[in-house]
Amino acid sequence: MVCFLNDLLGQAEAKLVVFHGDLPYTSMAILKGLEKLGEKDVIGSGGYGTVYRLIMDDGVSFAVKRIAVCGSSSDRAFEGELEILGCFKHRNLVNLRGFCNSPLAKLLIYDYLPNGNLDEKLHGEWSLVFYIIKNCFFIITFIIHLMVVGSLLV
Amino acid sequence: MPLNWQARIRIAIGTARGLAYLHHDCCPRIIHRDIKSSNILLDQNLEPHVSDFGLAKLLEENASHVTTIVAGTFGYLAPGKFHIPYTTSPCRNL
Repeated sequence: MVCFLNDLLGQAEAKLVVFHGDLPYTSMAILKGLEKLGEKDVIGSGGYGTVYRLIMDDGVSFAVKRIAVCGSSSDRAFEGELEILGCFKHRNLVNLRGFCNSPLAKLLIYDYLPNGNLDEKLHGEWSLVFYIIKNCFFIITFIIHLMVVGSLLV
Repeated sequence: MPLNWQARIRIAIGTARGLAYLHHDCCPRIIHRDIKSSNILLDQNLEPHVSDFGLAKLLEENASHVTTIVAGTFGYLAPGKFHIPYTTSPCRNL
């Protein structure tokens, strides 16, 4: 089922929390950006929900993850959990910038990483093509080597 | 372009550093429970960034501070977890 964020956010009051206070945008600007997100901005989906790319007016990108709604856990538990996750900062962890909680959508705002994920790098289409070409090259050189050695022996 | 070995080693070490931070330096300790190549994102310098940490618990029903029910992706799950599907230590990530 396709469900657009503006439909989800527009119907109810959304709560936006930004961690560290180091984002140079107003809450209004971020909410406006979130409302504009739609199917065209989808950059991936996983077990935890759909990921959108949010591009701010100054060109800076963020990854917005819409969590598949967890019906049983309360808003307070959800927010408490995210407050804890927002405290963690490490150069090898994706930085959680904030979250937006409305009764119909739970959105997590992360830094956008431009180089994709490791899985694409390791198993992407071009990696496979290069792998096949490289192996074909080795096989052909090996056969030529055998033929040369064979002709020398004869 | 395919990754060279130097880049791969840097990604492996960086990922391990991120997980070690979650396991040992965070309070409360975080066990990722779904570590896999598609959860390791790369920046413009091919520096790895672990994503989706701490989400396993958010989506769990009856959430408590001790999360035990098995989570993860088929193919990346530790074989032992089929028999004893409960999480007790960070070894779940290895």
